[in-house]
Amino acid sequence: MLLFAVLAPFVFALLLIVLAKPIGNKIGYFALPIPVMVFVYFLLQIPSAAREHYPIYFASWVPQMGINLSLSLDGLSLLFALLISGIGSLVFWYSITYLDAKERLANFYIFMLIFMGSMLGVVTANNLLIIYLFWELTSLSSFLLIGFWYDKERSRYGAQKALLITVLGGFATLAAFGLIGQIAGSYELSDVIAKAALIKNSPLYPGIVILVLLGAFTKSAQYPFHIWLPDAMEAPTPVSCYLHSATMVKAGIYLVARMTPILGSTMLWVLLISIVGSVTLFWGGYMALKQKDLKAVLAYSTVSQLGLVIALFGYGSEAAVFAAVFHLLNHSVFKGSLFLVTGMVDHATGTRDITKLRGLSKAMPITATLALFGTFAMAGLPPFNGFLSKELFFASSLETINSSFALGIWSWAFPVLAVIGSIFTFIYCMMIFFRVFRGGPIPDDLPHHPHEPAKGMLIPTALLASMTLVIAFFPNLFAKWLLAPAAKAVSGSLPQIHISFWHGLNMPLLMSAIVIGIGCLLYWRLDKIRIFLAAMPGRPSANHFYDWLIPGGALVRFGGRVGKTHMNGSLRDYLVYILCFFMLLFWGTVIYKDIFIVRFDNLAPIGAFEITWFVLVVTAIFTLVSSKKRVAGLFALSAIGYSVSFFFVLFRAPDLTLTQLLVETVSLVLFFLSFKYLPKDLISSQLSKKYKLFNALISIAVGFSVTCACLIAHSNKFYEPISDYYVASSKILAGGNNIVNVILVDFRGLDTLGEISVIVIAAIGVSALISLGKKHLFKEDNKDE
Amino acid sequence: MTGIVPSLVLDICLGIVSLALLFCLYRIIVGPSAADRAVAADTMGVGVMAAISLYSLRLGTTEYLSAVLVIAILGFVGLVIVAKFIYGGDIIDRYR
Amino acid sequence: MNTNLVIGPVMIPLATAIILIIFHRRMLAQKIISIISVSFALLYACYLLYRASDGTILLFYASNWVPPFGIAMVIDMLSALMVTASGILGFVCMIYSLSTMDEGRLRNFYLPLYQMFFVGINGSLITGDIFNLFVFFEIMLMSSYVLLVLGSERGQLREGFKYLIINIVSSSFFLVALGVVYSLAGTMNMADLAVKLPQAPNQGLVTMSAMLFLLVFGVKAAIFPLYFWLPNSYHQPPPAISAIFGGLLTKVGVYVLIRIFTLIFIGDVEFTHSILFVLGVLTMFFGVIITISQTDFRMILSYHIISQVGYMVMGLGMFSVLAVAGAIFHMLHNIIVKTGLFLASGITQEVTGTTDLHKMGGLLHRYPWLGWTFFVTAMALAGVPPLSGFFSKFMLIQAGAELGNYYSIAAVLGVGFLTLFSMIKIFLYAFWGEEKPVPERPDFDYKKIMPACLLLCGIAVCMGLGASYVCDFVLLAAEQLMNPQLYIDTVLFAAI
Repeated sequence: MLLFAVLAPFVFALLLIVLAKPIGNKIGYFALPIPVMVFVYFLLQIPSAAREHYPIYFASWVPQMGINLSLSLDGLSLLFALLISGIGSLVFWYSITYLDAKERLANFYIFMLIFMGSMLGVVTANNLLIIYLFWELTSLSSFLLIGFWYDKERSRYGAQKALLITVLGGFATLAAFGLIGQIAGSYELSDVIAKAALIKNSPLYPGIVILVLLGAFTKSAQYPFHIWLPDAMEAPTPVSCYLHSATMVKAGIYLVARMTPILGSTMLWVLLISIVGSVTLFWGGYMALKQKDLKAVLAYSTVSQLGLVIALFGYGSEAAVFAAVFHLLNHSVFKGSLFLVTGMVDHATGTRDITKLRGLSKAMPITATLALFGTFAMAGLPPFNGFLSKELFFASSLETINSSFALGIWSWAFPVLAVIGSIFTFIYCMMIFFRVFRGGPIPDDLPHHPHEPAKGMLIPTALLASMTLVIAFFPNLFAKWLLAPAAKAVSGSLPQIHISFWHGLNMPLLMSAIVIGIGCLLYWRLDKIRIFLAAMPGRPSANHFYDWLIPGGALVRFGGRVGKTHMNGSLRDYLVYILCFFMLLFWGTVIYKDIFIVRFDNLAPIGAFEITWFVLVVTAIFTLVSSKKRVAGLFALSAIGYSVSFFFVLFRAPDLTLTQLLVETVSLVLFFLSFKYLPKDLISSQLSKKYKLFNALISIAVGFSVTCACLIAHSNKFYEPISDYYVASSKILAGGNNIVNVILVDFRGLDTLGEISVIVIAAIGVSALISLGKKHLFKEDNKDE
Repeated sequence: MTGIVPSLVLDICLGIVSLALLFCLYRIIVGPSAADRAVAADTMGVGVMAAISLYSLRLGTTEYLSAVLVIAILGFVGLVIVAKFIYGGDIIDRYR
Repeated sequence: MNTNLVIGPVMIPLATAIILIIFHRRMLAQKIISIISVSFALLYACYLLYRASDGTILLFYASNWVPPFGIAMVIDMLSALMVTASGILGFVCMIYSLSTMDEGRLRNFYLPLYQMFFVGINGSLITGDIFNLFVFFEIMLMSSYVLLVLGSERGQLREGFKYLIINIVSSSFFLVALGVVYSLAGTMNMADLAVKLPQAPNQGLVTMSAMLFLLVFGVKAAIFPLYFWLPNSYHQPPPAISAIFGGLLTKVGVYVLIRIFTLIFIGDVEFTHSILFVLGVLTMFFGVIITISQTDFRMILSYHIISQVGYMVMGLGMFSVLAVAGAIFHMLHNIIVKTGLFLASGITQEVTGTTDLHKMGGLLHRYPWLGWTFFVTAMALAGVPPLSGFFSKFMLIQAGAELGNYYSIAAVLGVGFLTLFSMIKIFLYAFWGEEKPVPERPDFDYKKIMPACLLLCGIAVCMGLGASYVCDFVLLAAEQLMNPQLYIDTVLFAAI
């Protein structure tokens, strides 16, 4: 059943591919039941997960590599699965109205289903590699969804950026998983957790941590990898809501949570995570205030809130983990509803520019109410759920001061960053609500006249937004059934925390008060602050680096430069490289292995004939390479050939002599037949002296090397050659006197068959070239190149 | 057959033939016309024939005589081709 | 196991080629015979794979001369896998050729040459004699020269000439290397060499000859400083030919490298395989870095061949069962996927009339099947799970982790990332973006030439989902390679 729940979206996505045509633009109604059914299934699992009787599934897939399709649904998985399927259901519902019938609806729902299935896979997988598998699928489906409007330049830019950054992290994770698997001997999570001590003591541990966190941080848009998230907002708003605020970006958090029992509670882990998280919390809030686009504000706010959750996981105490899980739930709820509200505003007014929007509550009162829920919850105001988790967050940040990892005075940085980040959050939340929905009459220059959106969009949003209140009023219900089991999966023990609005006067409440106080004060001067912030730099940002590297083409230019250094299209240069490499290999081995062992005693004697013919051949060779006219070169070439044939005579090889002579004559004849198509002068006459000298050097060196290779080989015969067998048995076994003939047609007849085939191919080739070439041969010249 | 002709005589003959081949090569190098070279190449073929024949005499074998025949026949073919080519005129003239 | 079955992969295409030449004026007959032949060859290869899959080594002695004196043809698991892959390619590219190849080429012996090419490929894959390997290489190269220039277009002739010269140079070195080895060991049979060379008194000399062979097959496999000939020459001929070249030609070089560096030249692993490893990594990086600067669809694919070959050579250089298995897996995966991508590029070219990425755009809208087939195949190449490329790469990663060779992990993932980048680049330019005008061809339906491409895409998906079966095969192959004694005993002593 668990397997089916995870794979159902994939199965239906496949079905939709087939059914897309007949269904037409009602496809949304066919897609909607799937997340709902999956959601119901996961809801039914809550009791068993809370009792730790969670469903598991195991099937071996590629056991040779330790990849098993093993799933399990513990508390943490269940929380995520509920978020994914629950918000998924609402987003599907919302999309039916939101998306125009003219869009590529089938693509949209198929990608969404694939994405949902992958997310469910990530959170339920019980094998590291299955996590990775679904992890990459979420990156890919996210890529496709961001680029849904692929004819827009910005969409493509955003899609590519998101994919590259998240896949980079994904690959890092894969490397880490490979190393973990090697140390633990298995990729099954439960086995790996059992070997956690082994991993922590391994010298590879720091590397593994960094690689895993690279994956988590890129996915969860942590500083400095957050840059893809704002650009991912080019996607349709339901996608932004679903992927880039409520679920996919949480995959990184999930990974951190999942890996905490394996890698966690070491100095490196805690510091890396909490520092990066806190910096992201701060930076996201700061950047959010600089934005004009409503979705960009929400994007940076997502970055900031994700930083908050990550930081909480980093603090690592039982209470902090619980707070993290709680805030994760809250964030999905309020950020999801805010995105849906943004979509409605965009839909109704045609713009998302904060500076243009004003006073929408008059035209869209219900939407405004929903926005109020979302923004106030995010700002951490009572009586919304955000307040509760923010209190817990402050409490946990204070705990770090006294934690075992003594950082001295620096440990105060965490609560301070927490407060500053929360102040930013407060201000932009207020900005979203009061600027967009209040603050004067509705301006006239909006692209559309604002109106209350259709029910199909309102109801899902309202359901989600009302959850902010439901959670706030029954927090302990959620805590008992959902959050505590989830926290237990991370920290190992069931947290005993009672959530309530009033804990008495304590530090967290004071911090909340500071946030609200300073927040209100600053909000009062918001315009000035925004002008001031707009002048502040957005640096240091990895965006510049990314834009320089990928769209700016630095990488491409680098590649081009590398290519141009040697891929210049010149045959001569290629040959020079190949020959030089040969000499490098050869002489390198000879010198390194000290094998220059040459004996001259078993060579044939060199007499007057040999010397004479040698002089003849060498003279002819020099004639060949120095001749300016092709005819002269050709004659020199045949002179070489004829002279070489005499060497075969000298070394008693009549068959070879014959062959050599035939080949020489035939090639001479062929050359003359094709002569009129060749240029008269040889190109060598136009080359510079230096160039020729270099060529000569290379040629001589190669010739010398080959000679040495042959001499070395000849001087070191370790075994009797098989030719003795041929000599002995060609008459007896094969019945032939001429050994050469017997070898050719009998002992190694297959070789001869092959060589004959080569000649046939060449013959066919010549014939084909001539008959196809006729039409090109005499009418060229006006073409390029 | 060894012994019919003293090997010293054969060596001297081979030396002379080699010398002749060198002269031919000189003609091939210097030219000046294609016809000179063609004739030189053909003469070289004859020289190689002579050399092979003399050498077979020295070795006392008949195995190489087929090679001599091949040169005799194909050398002629080659020369005819070259002659026709030279008669045909300029090399890059592309009339058909 | 001594059986005549072994010679089949060579004899089927050879006989077909002869028949096709006889029928060379009758196009329809030629097409029918070709299709029957490639289908039969595929089934035959599958049967051989089945026979070899229990670990037996199939043998055939040409003219029944026992090795080392005669020529032995040997099918072990690796050969069987490669022959099957070549059978699949032969089948798929034939389907594609028949639906796209122009009349002129078909009339001028395209089909017989196609068969002869496979004679060379299959022969090289199954021979157990290193000189016979030379002969089959010559068949393969000669038919590849002709296929490359068939059509006589200027670019084809220009690049074909370079290809020819470089390969002739490398063939000359092949001969030198053969001479050196023969002088050292006095034999040409690979199993016999495997007995004699590792026991030779001076291993330095064996290493020297290993380096000569590395040079020779490095040129064929297009490894780091020897790959110059590849990109441009694969860019020129019609897509069907590029596809089989891209899929198979370099892989045969890799196959031989794997064969000789696990069977014969294992006396000085420290030295030779370190060189292989370094060259493999360099090949990966150089290939992929040049790739990302290209803006031509087929150029990108061509350079990718180089970087992918690097993976295999790197795996070989790591020299453990898992690493070699990963290399073989990667090779099989690459044969399928690379061919699929070349075919997709060919269809794109048919549709848009260009291979320049800047001149196309928005194809996904009008050609969704093409776009998604390309996407899935490209993701398989980039190693996205659960497609085939992931498993081969992960096997290499596992091998790296097992050996403590962390450079290899970094290389696999780094190059994988850049591969993904360039594949996405193609997708962004060609299939996304604004639609650009394409030449109107009213009677043209791109779906008719899609089956070949879809088939390969499907195989890539199946190789991923059914990776467990492939793993069994490649692990068995790697086991056999890493324990060459079985091969040696079978080849040399089966007849006795």
